[in-house]
Amino acid sequence: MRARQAIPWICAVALLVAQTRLIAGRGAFSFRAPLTVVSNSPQRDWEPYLLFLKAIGQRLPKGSDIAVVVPVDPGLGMEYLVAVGQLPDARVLPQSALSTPGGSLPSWAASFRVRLSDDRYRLVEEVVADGFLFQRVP
Amino acid sequence: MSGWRFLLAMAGLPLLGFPFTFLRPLRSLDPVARVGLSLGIAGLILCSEMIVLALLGFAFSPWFLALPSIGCATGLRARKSLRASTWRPSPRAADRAGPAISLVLAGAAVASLAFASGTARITSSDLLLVWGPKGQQFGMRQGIDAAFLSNPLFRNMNSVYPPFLPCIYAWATILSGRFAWGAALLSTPLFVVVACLTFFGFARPAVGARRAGACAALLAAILAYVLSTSLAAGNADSLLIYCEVLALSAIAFGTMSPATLLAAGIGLTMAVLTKLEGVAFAGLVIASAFLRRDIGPRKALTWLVPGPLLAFAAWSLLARLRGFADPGMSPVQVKLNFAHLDEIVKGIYREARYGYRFLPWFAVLFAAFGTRTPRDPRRWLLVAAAAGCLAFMVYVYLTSPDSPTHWISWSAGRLLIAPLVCLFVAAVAEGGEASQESTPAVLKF
Repeated sequence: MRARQAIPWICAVALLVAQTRLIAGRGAFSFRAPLTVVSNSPQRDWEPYLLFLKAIGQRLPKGSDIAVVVPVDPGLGMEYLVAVGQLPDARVLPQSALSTPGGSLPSWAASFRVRLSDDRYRLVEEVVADGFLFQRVP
Repeated sequence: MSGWRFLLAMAGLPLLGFPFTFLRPLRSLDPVARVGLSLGIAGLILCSEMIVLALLGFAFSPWFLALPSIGCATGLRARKSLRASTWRPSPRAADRAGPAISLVLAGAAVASLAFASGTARITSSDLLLVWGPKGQQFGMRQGIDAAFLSNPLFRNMNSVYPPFLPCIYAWATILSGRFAWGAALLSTPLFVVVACLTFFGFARPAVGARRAGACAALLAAILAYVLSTSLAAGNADSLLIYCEVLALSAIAFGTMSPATLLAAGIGLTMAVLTKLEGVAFAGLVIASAFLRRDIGPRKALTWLVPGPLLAFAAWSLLARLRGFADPGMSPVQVKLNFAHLDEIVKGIYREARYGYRFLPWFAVLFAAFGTRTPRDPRRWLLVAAAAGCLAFMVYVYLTSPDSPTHWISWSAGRLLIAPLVCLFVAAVAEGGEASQESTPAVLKF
């Protein structure tokens, strides 16, 4: 009868040990809130981009439209979708909005790890290292 | 502060579902099973209302969920005879509560998962790309935002993916005022807690509190580990696991009374609304129920089929009418590419190791040694369902026109949880005893 309980317990302990190793392998134990939702995960490559978008979101007037320019992925890929989620109060347009002939230009542009050189926009601020906010020239 | 409100809104959902568990025939279930079922009932009402309102073009209000719950609670209060639980502990359920060791182990597993989730150790970009943005948008628009889903700019967010988790996130966003990304991570341990409670509640009458407690602790440890290794914080995987555990526990341990079959039907309906693999899971479980002598086609058609079928039809109708259906996902149009079959098999095998020598699978295997009825043929139907889930995985990867190696390393760990849960329940399942109450075949108020 005792084995009926003991076997699951032993297995649970083994899994807990493995789980503890996994947790310990992803950074020091701390109860402080992480900077971003990926800060200690294997996906932490996203952290600088998320901090950049957070800084942009804090400066952008509500309801603005903005195009986010990144060095890779000029299309509708991951960076664009992440920006849509991280800037909920803005209308986020793909990078191609800046180069569409006859299309309406967004009022704002933000560039990450690439410097936007477009006469129609003026630099407002470097919000994080290598992350810039631009506003359309009236 | 809104992060706490967001978390409380999600954790409070079972409170809104709990009054419905006093209705016949659900009130004959074990009280812990009813607590576990409460989240499913509330979530299902929430998601159904959001789908119907999106079809009609109206916005959702929290009152739409609160009012039926309050109405149900008030009705039960007025009719005293109906509010009392008719559950009577079976001789096995009445044995002394399981030792504290089970509780400590389950608590440690959930705490470690909560710590890993809350400190952003097990987040994948799926939360940033799909689940978070959708939930946030639904919350801001107070309902399923069909215009957002049909926007070609957001095509890569898998618009046609079922909406259950985004609806729950929308509910929490509406109540808290904003989508709290950090709190969304903690939905994973929350759903695991409810899944383990549900398992315990259905297993206790069949195998006794001690064995049920020990197995629930093991389930918590397995889920904490596999969800951590497969980076599932804030994603829909833990919600799907809850649906699967509810359906499988009800079928494996239940008495096949209307109460347990209704609970299984609720679990399957939720699975269909949670993820596409939930549709395959529901189909496999229903097929296995058809073959079981104690369920059979008549009971399966009455209790297990209508909910999932209605849910699938309603979501498909909304997708078609609002222009976000993806014709490329139709099984008729999908082309299978067998050129990478060996890569697929090797990739799934690699991911099944879960980082450390197939540990969760061995845990399931060892758990089977403690069962009293190792030759019960019913457990082989659950094993067949697990094999079906694996076959579905292979099918999914065969649809990739290019090498699916990266895709497999990205997703197979999470897809393998469904067969793992099927095998776990098959390993520890023992037939349920008949409830002392003869439950009616018709749902009455």
